[in-house]
Amino acid sequence: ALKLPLSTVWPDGNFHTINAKKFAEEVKTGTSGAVEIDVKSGGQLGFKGPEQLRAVRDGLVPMADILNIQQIGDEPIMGVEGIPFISNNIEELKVLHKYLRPEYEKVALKNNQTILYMVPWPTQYLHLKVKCESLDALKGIKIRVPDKNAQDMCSAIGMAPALIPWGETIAALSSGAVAGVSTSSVSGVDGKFWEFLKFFHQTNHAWSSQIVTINNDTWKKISPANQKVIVDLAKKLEPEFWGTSLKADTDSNKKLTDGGMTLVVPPPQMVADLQKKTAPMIADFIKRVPAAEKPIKAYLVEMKRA
Amino acid sequence: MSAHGPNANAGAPQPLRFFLDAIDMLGRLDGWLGAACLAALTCLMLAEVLVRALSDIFPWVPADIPIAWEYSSYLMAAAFTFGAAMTLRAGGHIRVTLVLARVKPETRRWLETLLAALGVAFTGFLANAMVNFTWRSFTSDQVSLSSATPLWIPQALVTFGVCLLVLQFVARFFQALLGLPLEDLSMRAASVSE
Amino acid sequence: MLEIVIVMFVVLFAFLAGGLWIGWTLAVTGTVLLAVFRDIPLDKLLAQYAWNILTTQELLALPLFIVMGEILFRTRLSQSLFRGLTPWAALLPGRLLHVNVIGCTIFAAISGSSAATTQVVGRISLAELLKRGYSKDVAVGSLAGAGTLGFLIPPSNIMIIYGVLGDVSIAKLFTAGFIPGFLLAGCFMAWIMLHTALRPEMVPAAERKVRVASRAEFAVSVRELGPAVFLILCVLGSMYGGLATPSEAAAVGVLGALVVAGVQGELSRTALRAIAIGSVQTCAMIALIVLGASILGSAAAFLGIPAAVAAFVSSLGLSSFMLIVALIVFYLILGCFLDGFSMIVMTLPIVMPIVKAAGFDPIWFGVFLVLVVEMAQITPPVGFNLFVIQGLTEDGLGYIARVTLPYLLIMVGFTILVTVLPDIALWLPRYLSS
Ligand code: NA
Ligand code: NA
Repeated sequence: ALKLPLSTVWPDGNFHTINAKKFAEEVKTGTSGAVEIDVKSGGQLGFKGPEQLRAVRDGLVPMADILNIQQIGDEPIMGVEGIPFISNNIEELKVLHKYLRPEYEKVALKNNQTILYMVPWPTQYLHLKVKCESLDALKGIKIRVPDKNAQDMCSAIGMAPALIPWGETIAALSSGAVAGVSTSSVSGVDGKFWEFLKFFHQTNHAWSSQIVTINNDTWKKISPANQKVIVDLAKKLEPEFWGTSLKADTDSNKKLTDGGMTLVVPPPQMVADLQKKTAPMIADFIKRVPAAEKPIKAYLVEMKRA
Repeated sequence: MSAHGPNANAGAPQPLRFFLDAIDMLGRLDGWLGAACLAALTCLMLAEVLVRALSDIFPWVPADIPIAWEYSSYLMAAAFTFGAAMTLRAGGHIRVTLVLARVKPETRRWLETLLAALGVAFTGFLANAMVNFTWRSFTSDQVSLSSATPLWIPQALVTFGVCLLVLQFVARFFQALLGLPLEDLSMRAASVSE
Repeated sequence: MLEIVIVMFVVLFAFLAGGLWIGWTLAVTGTVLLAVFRDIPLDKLLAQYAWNILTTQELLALPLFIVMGEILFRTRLSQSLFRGLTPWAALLPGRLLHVNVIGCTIFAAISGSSAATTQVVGRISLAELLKRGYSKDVAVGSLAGAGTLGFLIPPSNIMIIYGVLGDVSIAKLFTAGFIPGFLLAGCFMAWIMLHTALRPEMVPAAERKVRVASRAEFAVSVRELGPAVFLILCVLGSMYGGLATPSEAAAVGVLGALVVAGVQGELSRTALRAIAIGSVQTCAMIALIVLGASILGSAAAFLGIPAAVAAFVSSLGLSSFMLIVALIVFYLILGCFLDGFSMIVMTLPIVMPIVKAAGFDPIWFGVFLVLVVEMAQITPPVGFNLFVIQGLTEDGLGYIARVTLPYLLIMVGFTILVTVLPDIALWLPRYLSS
């Protein structure tokens, strides 16, 4: 049997890892044991998030579950989903993916790999100590952000972003060094945010997706029949995995609420203000990454936003 | 340098002696570069704390220094590798000397030569890998995730540190082969037992 | 799988015994394993690993605490801490032999790292103890044992890593570490008292009797401890006062140490030079080993070694108590060769589900893991506290490991105690959250 380690930085309990394991299971059955995917969770193979694309490209690991927005250092177009307020819900994201996927596949080919399936992370929330229902209320709140993109967005809407590694975030929260975190509700549960924070605001401000890829040299070692089995399985499971993402969001929301936090749906005026403040970031992105113009424009046209 | 003992490489023929002395000097120099990196990283972390504290009082102060964590980790990596060569020369790297201490001096000399050769081989392999690694990030315009800094710059610093360690191992190989003193204790920072 | 494990041990022991530097022994073993058993572009892999490990942000507190330790060692601060603890330690049989344990307990509340705790306290106390004629065996052993408290008493780098990977509240983990930390320190001190009662010659003749110092001496002690208390305020104060994250707090600690030393007029050019060079050499020494250990750790994960071992353990169908005993043995063996960080990263994905299924609380398991990681710090051939002490005294690894053995056994016993009475760890977080 062809044994293929799949590198992921997410731990076993994470729904992406559970999905990857399910995929591995079905591939094993579907190929009658000819292809065995071995999911190596929690970053145990020694690769960090931003290196997964490169690790597959260089043949360091045959497969990986890659977080697209972490690859922008190598492939800037991978950051489109992270542009603030580009999609307002997972349905819109699906449309965006329709236009992005061909671009991602080009990127994958350039990096000597093939995309098997893509699954989004649940939407992003602003987890805060206070309830904010206007732009003014957000002003000056110290918030932990994971990357430059989120940092630019938070600056644009008047917050005070602090770029702190996830490993120090909880400590920063418990000490009061920051008064909020911009992340998904899933990560909010991971960090047991209810111990520190009171409200999570469903701003839907940014998206990101995990992309499972396989190195093309490895891919060629698999018989065409089995290749077809794997591609079909990926196609079959992808919608189901999208469902798990949505479910992870609702489940986590419930856990956050059970923990004592309150879900805040921003009033329409606040949403409009947020979008207005961050609107120039779409144009900035296209200016920086010209290849992103075509898919973004096509998407905005379909959404009747351009 | 005030702590300069009698030259440990005095027994080497020219031009080898010149080469060995030069590497020793480089070793001291990059040790100081490592110290500078440590100082800079301390200052960066302190500045981050200070800026965050000040932003509580004055709203116009930004909440943090966005590059603080990232650049601190580069400085740490540079400090780690810059210090490696000097630490080798000073005898500061840990190893099990159970066998080495019990064999005849002649055997020990050959063993040390072999070990130094192994050090050259592995560190050389690593250095070569790091050079290619850095070169790839340079040619593919790789930038960091959190600040879009070209990664080849910090990578080149670390690679330079690893290359210096290779040189120190090469020097050690010749020193072992010629039976010269392998470790320059004058380079060693004082320890509790002294 | 068996042949992979055999090759690993043969290569590891051959290079270790041959006298290759430990960091490179681990790195070469990992590289050889991958070269023989996997078809991977090794050069790209090694470069990526080296870059990753050397720039790991979670490690940032380490160099900072090393610098802080160097400052403390090269100034009068170190002696004044030692002097400040002297009248208190004199209240106990064994007198100054308790200074290591008490000093480590105090410093553990500042530092998140156990190597740094050993480093700082050892620099202060070892020379003094030996000068006064106390038993070197106990001085070195108690330092190695108590130095590990750096991980158990919060703040703790290992707990942060476990909390992130294992999906456990770090705040609760920190709280859970307090009581076991102080209890373990108490066990160490009880052993020192028993040991010195059995062999009085370990304490210099003039200092065998317990002595209650005068009020004036205690007043002096409080003054001498002032700088240390100030330092604790710098680190703990900045952390719990909302100024800094743990790594940043380490930087505040460096500043605090510099301020105290500066006020005392101890920052001469010679001292600064020694601090700089000493820090660089200690950092480089530890970094080389961390690098090697991580390369070997990742290679082992690639080859599925920890997974195979864990699968073997779970196939035995043990009772939950026997499972924990088996895990202690498993981690003790693994800990001989790996650093705590690699050990947790490699095994957690496999061990965590087994442990949860057996009905153990994840917070309790965090404390358990910290304890086994602490043991790994003091088991040869790869034990960071042993290396730190070797760096301090230049003794052989075998000697240091031998005199540390009683403390290792105490930790094994204590871990079993915490297994039988999990409330030792769980009571405080439960009490505080209710
Ligand atoms: Na600690
Ligand atoms: Na060990």
